[in-house]
Amino acid sequence: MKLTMTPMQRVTTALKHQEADRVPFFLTLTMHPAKMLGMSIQAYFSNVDAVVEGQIQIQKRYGHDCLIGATYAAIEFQAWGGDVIFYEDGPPNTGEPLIRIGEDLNHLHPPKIEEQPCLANALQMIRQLKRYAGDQIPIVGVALSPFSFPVMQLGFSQYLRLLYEDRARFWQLMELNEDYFLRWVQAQFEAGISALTYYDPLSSPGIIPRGLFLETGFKVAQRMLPKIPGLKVFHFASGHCMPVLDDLLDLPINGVAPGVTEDIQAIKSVVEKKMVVLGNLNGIEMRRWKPEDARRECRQLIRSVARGGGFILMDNHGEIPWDVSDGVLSAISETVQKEGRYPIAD
Amino acid sequence: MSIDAFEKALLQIDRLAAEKILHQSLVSEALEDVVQFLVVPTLDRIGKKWEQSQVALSQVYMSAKICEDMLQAVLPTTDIVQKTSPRLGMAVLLDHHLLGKQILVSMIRSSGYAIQDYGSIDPITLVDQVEKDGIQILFISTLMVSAAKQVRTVKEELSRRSLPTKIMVGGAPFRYDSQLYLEVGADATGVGLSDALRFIDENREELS
Repeated sequence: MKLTMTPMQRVTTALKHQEADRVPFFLTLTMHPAKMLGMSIQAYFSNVDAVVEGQIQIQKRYGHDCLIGATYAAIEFQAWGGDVIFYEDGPPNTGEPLIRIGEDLNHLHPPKIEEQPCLANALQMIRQLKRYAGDQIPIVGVALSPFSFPVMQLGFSQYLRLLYEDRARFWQLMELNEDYFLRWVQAQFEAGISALTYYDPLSSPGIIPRGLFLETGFKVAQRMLPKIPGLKVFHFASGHCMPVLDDLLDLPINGVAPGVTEDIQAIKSVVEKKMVVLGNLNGIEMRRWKPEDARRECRQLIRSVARGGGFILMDNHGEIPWDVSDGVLSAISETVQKEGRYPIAD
Repeated sequence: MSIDAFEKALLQIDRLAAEKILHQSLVSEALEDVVQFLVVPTLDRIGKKWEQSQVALSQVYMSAKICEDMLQAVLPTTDIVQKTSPRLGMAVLLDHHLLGKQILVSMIRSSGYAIQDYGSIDPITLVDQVEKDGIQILFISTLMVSAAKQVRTVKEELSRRSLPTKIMVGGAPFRYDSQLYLEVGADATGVGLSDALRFIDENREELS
């Protein structure tokens, strides 16, 4: 039977915990369009028109249910004055931290969104994608949570020491970051994103214990999430989340992306009807998959989690590695399109 | 010497309590014994608990840092000599995410070994340093897959220079794909202190 829904309708139905015409899936392909267009990653990300064209073409090729309204995670670090290192075969990475522990936080300068070329380009990309997609295809934006961003600003170990040893300065830093975060998120929704990924790996209990999360990252999320003017997904960037899942149920979020090692079926049982679950194909292992591996993994996920809606199939990290083959991506797409039709067969 | 009490203090990031236990142990035991029978088993236990998702990475880091700080404070007042054989090195490739490296360096130093810390470095400069310092066992930590793939460049350059250095790798990409270390030509992959110490012991004879 022909599929009848647009990607937007499919995703919206999943969010209502109803079964659409088939399981929605997101392929978080931020770099593959560069390969498809024959461009280096750096040249690609520097060219708004190329990124727009790339997203449109790659969505047409694989038929997944979103456009990615983001380029690379380090863009926010770049906007704050940090250096970004570009690679030929992977996502851009952050350079040296912006400040050292003990330095005056006044050395940090939250950017004006409209004055930063990298952020302005990202917003222009979203506007152009919105003109193309209208209300047919969701555009998913990304923003680093104010709580996780200091991993880039200070470096991981320096930030952990700040958390444990200087709580007053930690909250000072949060004030700076929260103000910037809300401006950046507002700008993305105004440009046309349909949903935001609240990217918060530090809140994973694999990184900080639940008690510390409740004193810090949870409080930040409590303040920020109600002010996000649209749909939002809490993403742990592959980190696990089960020990804090009950806490997340108290937050106004529409979805959660659990870790790759977690039992996604168990996660869905806990959050059933309250938020959608996204995941959790292993993006690192995907690099060495053959198409039959992709078919097996997708089939397993669909059969264990997709019934009843409330599920969007995607990778665990939110950025599929550069060297995942086109054959694997096609196999994911074909399997979801064929075996992800509702009602799901046994 | 109570491992349970020491572990509890460390996991609660209670530096004062941990120092009290360490100093109490040093009243009746030699530093080498305190390191071998208190510090190393405790850090190893904490590391294993993290692998089993029972404690958080921040607790692993702070525990290792506290132990390293305490031992660095005590070492100048003792005759203990850090073990310098085999010669150990540690690096992060092409990245400024240094946490994994810092954890392992702290743990290895707390275990009584000297280790050269190369920080964040590119593959060829790393091999230059390894050759100059005669490093026999090299630990490499990476956060990104693109950096993990550069371990192959290190391995190839070591082979080209006929350097017998053994490589153990760690970090998120290697945790999420258990076969990745083979793909990049490393000799082993590890997660915590016991993996590192076992790798040292397994290769000690061959490298001597």
